[in-house]
Amino acid sequence: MHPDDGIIYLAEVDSTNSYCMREAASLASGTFVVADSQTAGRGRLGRVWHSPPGCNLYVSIILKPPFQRLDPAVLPQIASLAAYNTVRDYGVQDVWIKWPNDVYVGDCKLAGVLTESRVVAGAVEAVVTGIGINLNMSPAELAVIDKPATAVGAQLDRDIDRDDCLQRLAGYFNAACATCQSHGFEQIYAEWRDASGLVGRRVSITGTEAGVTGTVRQFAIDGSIVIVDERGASHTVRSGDLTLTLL
Amino acid sequence: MDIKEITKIVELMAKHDLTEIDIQAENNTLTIKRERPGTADQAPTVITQMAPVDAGNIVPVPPAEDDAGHTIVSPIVGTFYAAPSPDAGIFVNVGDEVSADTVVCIVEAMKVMNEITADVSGVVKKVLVENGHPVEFGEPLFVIEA
Repeated sequence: MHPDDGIIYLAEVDSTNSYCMREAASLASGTFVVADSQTAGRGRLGRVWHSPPGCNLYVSIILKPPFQRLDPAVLPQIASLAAYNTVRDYGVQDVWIKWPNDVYVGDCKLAGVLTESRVVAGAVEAVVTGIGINLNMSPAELAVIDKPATAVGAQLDRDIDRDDCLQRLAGYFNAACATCQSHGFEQIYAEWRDASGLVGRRVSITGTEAGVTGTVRQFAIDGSIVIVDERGASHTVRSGDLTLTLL
Repeated sequence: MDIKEITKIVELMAKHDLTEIDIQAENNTLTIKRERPGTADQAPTVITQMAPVDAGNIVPVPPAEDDAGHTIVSPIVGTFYAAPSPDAGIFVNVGDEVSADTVVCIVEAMKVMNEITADVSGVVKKVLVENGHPVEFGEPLFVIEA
């Protein structure tokens, strides 16, 4: 939003998202907060985001009103698309966005997004988008993660400079936010949909809503997904605590 | 917004004796007007139209104030979480004192975890939704006694 508002570098923090939520009142909209390590890195619902020191990118961006035509609800898509474009810049192959906001190479998770907002008297007061990209984790460190995971460096067999990665990510993130602010989400949505690569794939979705198995027909612009089951019935699923599995 | 959600809103309007409601949510603007029982035709009038989104101004259903206190309603359609994680303690219990900036719950919508604040000082009198349950736009979540 405001690229000149700067970047705050922290050596260690509990979580860059927690820092931004705590310090929301004093942080300027558009500030990037980066940490060398997180002692309590987290994903949705307190799930652990493995955050060893000095080898990955852990960054959160705080945005505050006025959002103009940028709907804070699309920040998970903006962030995942920015991470997707960043790692593809380095030459990583077979990257895709796992609906709605994780970045994968094949079956292995490469980057994740956690978006949190604070709603006061019915209006969003601040929204914090955390992005973690695995850059230079060793195979041993990757094995600690409870699900299959990979890192950009592991994919390319070379080390990736964290700050170079941050600059690329910030460029994509800020450009997408600016596009949405002035024109709405349509253009970024189309890029995000293409990056997902899921249309036409057979998937199974389980979670709080009734599970459904079928072929992905389309994504709606609100981020919901339309799946056609074997009987030809169409199901619209919104992402809550849902698990999508490729079949 | 589907017919189920609209029906729910109409039910809430009847419950809290509201005669008119304007909602801007996602890409829809919804206006519902209803006459009080005994005054005229009681069927609600529903008007929906697509409208530009201005997400900086999510407009919740007017909180249902009654003698018992302040009702905190969900500003969005989503999933209600009473705790920050399954292993953590819940944000607030019945009987807890809260201030205006106390976070009382999270409503998750499309992978955005929205922390909802109490907006008033008082004591939690009722918790109206169970952890992990879906909530509708404008659905009462808590009653806070001033």
